[in-house]
Amino acid sequence: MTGELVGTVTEEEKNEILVLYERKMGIEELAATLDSDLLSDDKKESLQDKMIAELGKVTVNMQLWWDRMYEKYRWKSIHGHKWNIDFQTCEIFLIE
Amino acid sequence: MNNNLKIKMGSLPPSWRGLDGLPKTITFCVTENCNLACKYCYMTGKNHFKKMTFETAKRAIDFILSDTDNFKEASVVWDFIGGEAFLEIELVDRITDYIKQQMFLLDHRWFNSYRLSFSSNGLLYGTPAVQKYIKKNKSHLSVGLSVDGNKIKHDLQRIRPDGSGSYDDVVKNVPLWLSQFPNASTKATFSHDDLPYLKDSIINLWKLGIKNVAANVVFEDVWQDGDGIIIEQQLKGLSDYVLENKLWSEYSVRFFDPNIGKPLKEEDAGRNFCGAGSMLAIDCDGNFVPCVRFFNISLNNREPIYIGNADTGINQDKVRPFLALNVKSQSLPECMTCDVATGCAWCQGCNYDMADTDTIYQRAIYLCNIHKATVRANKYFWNQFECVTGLPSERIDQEGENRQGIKKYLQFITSDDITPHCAYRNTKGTNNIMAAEVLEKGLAYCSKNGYTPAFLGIPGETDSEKYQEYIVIDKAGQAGNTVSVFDNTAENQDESGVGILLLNRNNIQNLYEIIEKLFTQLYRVNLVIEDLFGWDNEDTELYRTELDKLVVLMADKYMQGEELELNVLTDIWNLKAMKNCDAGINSFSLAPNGRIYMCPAFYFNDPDSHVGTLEDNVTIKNPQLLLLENAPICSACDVFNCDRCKYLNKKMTNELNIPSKIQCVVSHIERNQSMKLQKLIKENSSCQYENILGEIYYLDPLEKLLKI
Repeated sequence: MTGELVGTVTEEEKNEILVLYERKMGIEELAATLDSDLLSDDKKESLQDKMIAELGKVTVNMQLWWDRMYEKYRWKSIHGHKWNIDFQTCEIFLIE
Repeated sequence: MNNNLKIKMGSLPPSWRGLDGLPKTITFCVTENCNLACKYCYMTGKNHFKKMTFETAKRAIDFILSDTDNFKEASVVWDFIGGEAFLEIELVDRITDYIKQQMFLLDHRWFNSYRLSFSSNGLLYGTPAVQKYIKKNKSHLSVGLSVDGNKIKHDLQRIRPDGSGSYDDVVKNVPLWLSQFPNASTKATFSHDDLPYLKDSIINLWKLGIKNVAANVVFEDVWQDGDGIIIEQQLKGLSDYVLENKLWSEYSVRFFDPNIGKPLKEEDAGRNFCGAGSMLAIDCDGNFVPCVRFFNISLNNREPIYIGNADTGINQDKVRPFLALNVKSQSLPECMTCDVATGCAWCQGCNYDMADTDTIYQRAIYLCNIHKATVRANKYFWNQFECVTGLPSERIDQEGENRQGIKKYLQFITSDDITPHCAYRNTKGTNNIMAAEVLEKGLAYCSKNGYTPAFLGIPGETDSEKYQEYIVIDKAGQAGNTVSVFDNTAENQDESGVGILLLNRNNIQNLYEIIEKLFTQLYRVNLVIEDLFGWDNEDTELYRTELDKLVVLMADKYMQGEELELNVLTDIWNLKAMKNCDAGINSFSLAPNGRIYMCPAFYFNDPDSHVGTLEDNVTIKNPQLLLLENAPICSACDVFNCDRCKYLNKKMTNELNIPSKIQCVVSHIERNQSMKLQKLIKENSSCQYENILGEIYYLDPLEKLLKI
């Protein structure tokens, strides 16, 4: 991963954000399944509603995780840059 | 290369491990049809008529997602296989959609941690339907394509039903595949017929851009006498190619996995290395089996072992034998005590299919000789790697393997006239030559006592071809040198990429000029000062000046992408502890007189200073003095690449474990110049180092020691 290494999180903390990240990707990739005829129109609609609600939740929860981690670790930050996590190593990088 | 810490050779990218490291793998055989008819394929019952229906898949999925007692894993890999799974991409797409929707609607934990996996022959990879599927599932997908090597090898085995080869059609899809899965590996499989193409095959795969090759050999009873010799020759040839082209940090092939070919540890005996039983495979009819090798179409001699289906659930009694399997319970006693047991693989399904009775507890060992030959070549690679790079072999156990596990060398002083490779020289004009009998006895001694032979000079009056496989260190210009020695000159360069430069005090002022010349051909120079005992302050100052110039030269070269190595400047960057002279510990020298010495310097100084003979054991009095922990000054020092020449210690301080002041001063001059070079390179590149050098206030660590 490129960028400046500014800190690490614990394995448990990494798993928290990993689940959220995977869930977000999962919901995003679920959208394309709505074209299939596997569900009735009613079921499709409720699936879509659930997707919208869950995507909102997961996005908020991801931001809350970063806020909580920053509060705990006080990583270096630069205006206009953002932090990234390496899921293999639990390392946090500051990238432009 | 030295600045790159990652030695990739032999390792493969880790497979996805999910949240708890052990994802459940669930494989759907969506069709028994395949557009290839590979000669070595274990699926001998493939056919054109049987495929899975969506309803069958749906029943299985509904069952699996509802049975949270039997499927407790935190993560899952949904795997699709055939035949060729991409032949049924529309069915696969429908199944995938259903899985994703159901995991989400049921709030199943696997929705937050799943992957989709394919092993394909690659023929259909570029088709719009497959590409559409890949784009739709990109962030959850892994796809392995099977490319077997070069065209001859691939087309020998991976043929169409009409007998024509498939290489060209697969290879045209490789660039697209690698652009979508940059870290992908291929699983090249080798069998009896194609062993002669192994080396070229692996090289070809690397040239195609497939940097990770999970090569393996078939488990079945196909091997013939002489195959071991062929694979060993092929792998040694591949080894030389890797080292000549410095490929170890970017490319990998499983045959050079540094962990293979070691004895089993006690804890290994209770483990199983096959996932059959913890995985689940579903055939076209919806039957559950422990892995794909237990499908009806995969077995030649036995009935499938069905462990359940979507309607009846899983029969745990059928699963129990798989869960209880371990190495010991299925292996012969000689396999358990085999010196090179690790990495000797098996396939549970093949074991079952080949066993004398219908048991999974009889390990097939047809590849025993092939494995042993692979281990010999593997050891050859890592021995040569150490010799050529100066870096420690990855075969050395990182968890503190005992000393017996570390490589031991016996250097053969083939004559008194050899060009010295270290701080010694024959100044007495003697002319002894190692007799063939001594040489043969020496090799037998190595074999018996676990020493790796290294020839100093070419053995005279013997069949030199016989010794080609060994490490040869000789004066530059000779063909067949593993490492060439340049005796105070840069002349007579040959094809070896690594050289030893001997330097005496009369040539210090020529150091920069000589090394600059050497770097036009070599990528690594090991500088050896042969007469440090005679150096004075003027010499050290001159040496510092010459190193200063080399720092500038090497920094420039690094900026241009030439990562040259000079032991005294670059080795320390990768060291976290002392790594230097092993004389008297893991390295000894056999002289023409048949006696064994700690190193050639002791022989040339005093032929009666031997520590053993080929007939007797080596005996060293006060051997603890050879160890770092009994060297108080060296223990306090951070010049981890210092020569720590024991001969020089003895000669100058009368103690093997105490270095002379000049040794320490020169080493610290080198350290400081190394620090300068490291800083220059770090300012201008993203190179990373194991050992970042900082400022120190002393040139002699005794000063530091006395201050404490």
